[in-house]
Amino acid sequence: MNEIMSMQDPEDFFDDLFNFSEEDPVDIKKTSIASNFCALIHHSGVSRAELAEKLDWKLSRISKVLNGSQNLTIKTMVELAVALDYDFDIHFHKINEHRSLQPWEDNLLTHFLNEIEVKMIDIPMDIHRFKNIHSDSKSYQVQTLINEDFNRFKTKSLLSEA
Amino acid sequence: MSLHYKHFAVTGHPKSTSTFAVTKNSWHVYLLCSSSDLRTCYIYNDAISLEKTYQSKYKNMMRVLGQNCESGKPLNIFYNEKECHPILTIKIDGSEEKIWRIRQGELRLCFVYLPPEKRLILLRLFVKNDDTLKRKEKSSLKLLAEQVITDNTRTFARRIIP
Repeated sequence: MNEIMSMQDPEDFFDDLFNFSEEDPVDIKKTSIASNFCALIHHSGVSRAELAEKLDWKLSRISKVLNGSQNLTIKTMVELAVALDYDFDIHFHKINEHRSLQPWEDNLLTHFLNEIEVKMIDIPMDIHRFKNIHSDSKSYQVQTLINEDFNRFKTKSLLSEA
Repeated sequence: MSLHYKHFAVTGHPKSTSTFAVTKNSWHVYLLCSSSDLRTCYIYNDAISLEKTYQSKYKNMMRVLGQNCESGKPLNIFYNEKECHPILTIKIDGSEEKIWRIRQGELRLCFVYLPPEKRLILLRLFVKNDDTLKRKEKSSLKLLAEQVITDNTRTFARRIIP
């Protein structure tokens, strides 16, 4: 068995370990951007070597750009995205809200919609508004938005039937 | 005593909620404990004995791990080969299982995958100036990995420490 050696309260230790409030938001964003680019490269089915060739970069530059410690320029990010046949925008959200879904996360939206039993494929909602990640404790805001649009859709359908 | 697990997720509302999210797609990261007492967490005991400079690096390493686990893409696409690779192989019931290591600076974080779900179990943390593991470290890792891989996954959820 693992020896119990600590005098520190483990609750405090874990609270501290899992709390990133004090981390530099710039560092968090740098690694988050790099992580998203790594996922996008994988999602696109392109190897790092192929991408380097396409961009006419050395493989070492790709590694450097993707290691999360670099302050990437907009130029670098645009070049990378375009080489992968993607575009990007800045999507703002409140600090305590979840971000938009990524191209490799479309299943989460389907899952979410299925969960609330909205299975109509032609539901005329602004899908981007709902492309929010739902955590296990789904945010009240997202649910409200979906309910609002769903009710609007239902009203619209009833009107057109009449 | 049966193995217990502490789920690694973000706390610290509201700022750190945008650090990383754990979705249905994500790798779920757990810290291994030898009992329901958090003080028997192996990583906890390894981390509290770290020098102060390594403690902040360790926290950074965990944050990056969380971000890289968010998409649920294979973990090795976020690191280069030197940073994330299998270090040991063990044979369990005729099949080969791998123990993986993430290397960030002098820190070495060892883990195993625990299928069928997308679970990643952190075993031990070492500070090293080279890449060789001591015999004692190897045997400790192999023993832990074997216990985790042969653990009863049907009762896993009940042994997650809140």
